[in-house]
Amino acid sequence: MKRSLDVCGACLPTRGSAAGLALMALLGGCGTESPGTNPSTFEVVGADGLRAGDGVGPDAGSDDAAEADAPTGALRGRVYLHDPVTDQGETTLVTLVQPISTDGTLHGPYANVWNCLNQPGGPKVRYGEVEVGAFCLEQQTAKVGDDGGWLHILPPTDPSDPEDPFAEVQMYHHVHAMHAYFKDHFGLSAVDYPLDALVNVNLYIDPKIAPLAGLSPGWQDFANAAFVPKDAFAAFHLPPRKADAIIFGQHGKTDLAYDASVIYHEYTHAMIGTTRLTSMIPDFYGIDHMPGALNEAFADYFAASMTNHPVIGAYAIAASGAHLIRDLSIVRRCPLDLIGEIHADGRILSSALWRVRAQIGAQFVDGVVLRAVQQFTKATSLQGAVKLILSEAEGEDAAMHAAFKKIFTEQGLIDCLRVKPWKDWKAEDTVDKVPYRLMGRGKLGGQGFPDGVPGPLQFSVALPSGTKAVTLRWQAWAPGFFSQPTLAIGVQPAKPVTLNLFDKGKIDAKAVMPMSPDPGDIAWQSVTLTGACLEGAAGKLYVLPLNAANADAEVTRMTLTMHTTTPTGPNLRTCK
Amino acid sequence: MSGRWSLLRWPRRSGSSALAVATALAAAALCPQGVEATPPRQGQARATTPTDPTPAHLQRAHLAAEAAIASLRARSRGLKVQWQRDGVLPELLTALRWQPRSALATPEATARAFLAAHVGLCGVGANAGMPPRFELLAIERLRARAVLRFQPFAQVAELGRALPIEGAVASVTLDESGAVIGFTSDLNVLLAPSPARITAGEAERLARAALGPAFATAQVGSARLVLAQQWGATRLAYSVPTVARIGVQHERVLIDAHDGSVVARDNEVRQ
Repeated sequence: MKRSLDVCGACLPTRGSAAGLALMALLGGCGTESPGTNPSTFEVVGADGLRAGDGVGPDAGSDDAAEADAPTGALRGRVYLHDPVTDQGETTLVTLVQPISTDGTLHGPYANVWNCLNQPGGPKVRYGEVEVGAFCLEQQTAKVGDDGGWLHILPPTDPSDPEDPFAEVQMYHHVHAMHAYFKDHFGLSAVDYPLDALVNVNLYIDPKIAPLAGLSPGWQDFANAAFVPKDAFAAFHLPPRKADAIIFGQHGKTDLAYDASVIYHEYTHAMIGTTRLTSMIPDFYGIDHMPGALNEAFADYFAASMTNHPVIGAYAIAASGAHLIRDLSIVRRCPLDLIGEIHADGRILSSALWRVRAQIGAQFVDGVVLRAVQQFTKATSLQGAVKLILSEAEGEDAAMHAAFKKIFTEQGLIDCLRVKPWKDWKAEDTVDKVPYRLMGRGKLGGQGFPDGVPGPLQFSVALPSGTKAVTLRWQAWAPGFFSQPTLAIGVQPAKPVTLNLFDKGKIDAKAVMPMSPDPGDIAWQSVTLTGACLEGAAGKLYVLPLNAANADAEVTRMTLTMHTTTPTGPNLRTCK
Repeated sequence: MSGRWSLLRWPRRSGSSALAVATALAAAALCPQGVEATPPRQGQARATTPTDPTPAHLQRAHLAAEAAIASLRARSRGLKVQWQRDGVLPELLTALRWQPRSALATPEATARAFLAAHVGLCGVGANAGMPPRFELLAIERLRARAVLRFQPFAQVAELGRALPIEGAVASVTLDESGAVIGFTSDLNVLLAPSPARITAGEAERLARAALGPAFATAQVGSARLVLAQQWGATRLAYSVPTVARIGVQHERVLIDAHDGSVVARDNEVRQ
């Protein structure tokens, strides 16, 4: 069984969708926290570190010098090299790639940029048989000036402007910069065509319909960015496209196109992440979501390497919550930092690569990683990915290989078993604020998983001497449903629970126990284990969450209680 | 490589706990780098439909892979192997070096010669599985190196034609000298699938139903027959493209053509 991940939220993780929530997901159900944290300081890399926009980026020397060298403004424009926050509001003079259009629009060899205007005339959007609104109107508004350049197009005075042509210039420049980075330095040619790029994407909701759908009327923000296959645009009744596209929304005062790191992230997906690392596949320990996490890791890593700055989304992602910013200079480790969400879990590898890069330089690391990534399949495992990267490094230089291996080892990437301790835990109090998600049969079941669809992670419970029983509690819900989800756990003393991959994913465990409504709190589920599950546990019990329902479920809180005497209660389960 | 059992091969870490887990693991045949590999023992895997793989199938496929790797290791002493999650076939080979006995004109010819000479890497040999046919998807170049990505196809007797194996890719990496230096695959053992019992129209209806209420108004495209890999078996399946009318969702649903169950769903939007 192989499938790719369905995440809502561009670079942003959000809750799963249920009936009627798909629209909300599109409209940016990614949080409404106020924007703004300053990114961490820049990390200086070795002398061979590749520079942002190398070849198509900032002009050499100061702006004044650059302008002095250019008697005309031909092909010149101003962009944020990183984003408005990191660049402290300052734009930089750059030379744009010569467009191939003949009408002065930003249709270049590797990017065809469209502004999606909040104006009537866009394709209608229907929900069922009801017309609920319209997609924004695609036009190319950034036109070349009389001097042959785009210096007349600057950031709007009103940052909430949903139609600003500056977003087009910013997008055009950075897509070409990233393309040049991949092609000129490493020879990648997978996207040697003008990739459609939409900026200022919004959606209009008919005021007459909005209250019925529980939506706000008028133009709705899209607080996200995404790589979208060409066929998926039919969802908006858009004109057929010849190729895939990347789309970027306008969200309040945040224009996602202003954040180069987000552009680079999405473009990396387009370059290397569409034909590989798209599977979610069971392994012996549960559902292995790591191919998707690897895909995100590389999108983040190359975005950071391109900007020579470890923070992804200092401006654009911050608008949906500062906790969603991904700073690769913050080291994450496997398995302790795993949470089962691909963007967050991708940070383990991306932060490791960032550390290696800081030690031995971008040119070497980026080349090694790209050579490995090129060989990946749709289902390449974390273990396989690590081995390929190490093999590529080893083939180049023994010392460099040692640097990779040391950091990969330190961050637990070699032989990482997806097991972390079960402890008192609350998603809201964690750095990522992401719940543990348990996919239901509707997505992954088929005729397999007779005991329930396993989660991506297992948990271990350390048993102090004399423990007679253990109470495991969690607060769980199925988004879009009022009733409690049908969840269970596979329990195995001393060793991880395993799946039989040749018998439809049947659980090999001491026991499979239902998680029942907790007698103390209706919003919780619990089980108290005693008996054979604890005997012979050698101090450790392993627990694999299982979802037997069709709907996805989320665990938002967990608690653990040890008992030195066997308690009583409706949820006491004795393992035989 | 021998065909001996080696319980120490799993779970890729040392220590007595590894041995304990490996001992109890049903159907485990994971084969970490550099360690002897053996297929599942009789009785560990259980055939649940006539065309599910039997332990004998898996064992033969695994031994065929081992034989192919052994022949490669004779010329690439540093060869390293990472086995797929189910441990039957290799996920990747590194530190590999193989060249055809006589120079071939193109990278594609070399890659095809490599695959033909080592069909065991795909579990083919001693009646272990059906031989796949490879269609070149792309040649991706990185400087002087070329990675050739192939889409595997397999012949379906009842249809009298070959079908693509959905989601599977095999790639062969060549260096600047034209030598094969890497192989990766997520191709499982290919067995003759159960015959189709449902129609394309029924598959489209089932796909829509499987998507649930969030996709109640989804557009459903034409179903096409493919081969899908699930639980170690090759299944005849309908691939049904669906597009939500609202929301950034573009799901491809695989419906088992034999029993109508959902084999897999893919959301192709990447965010």
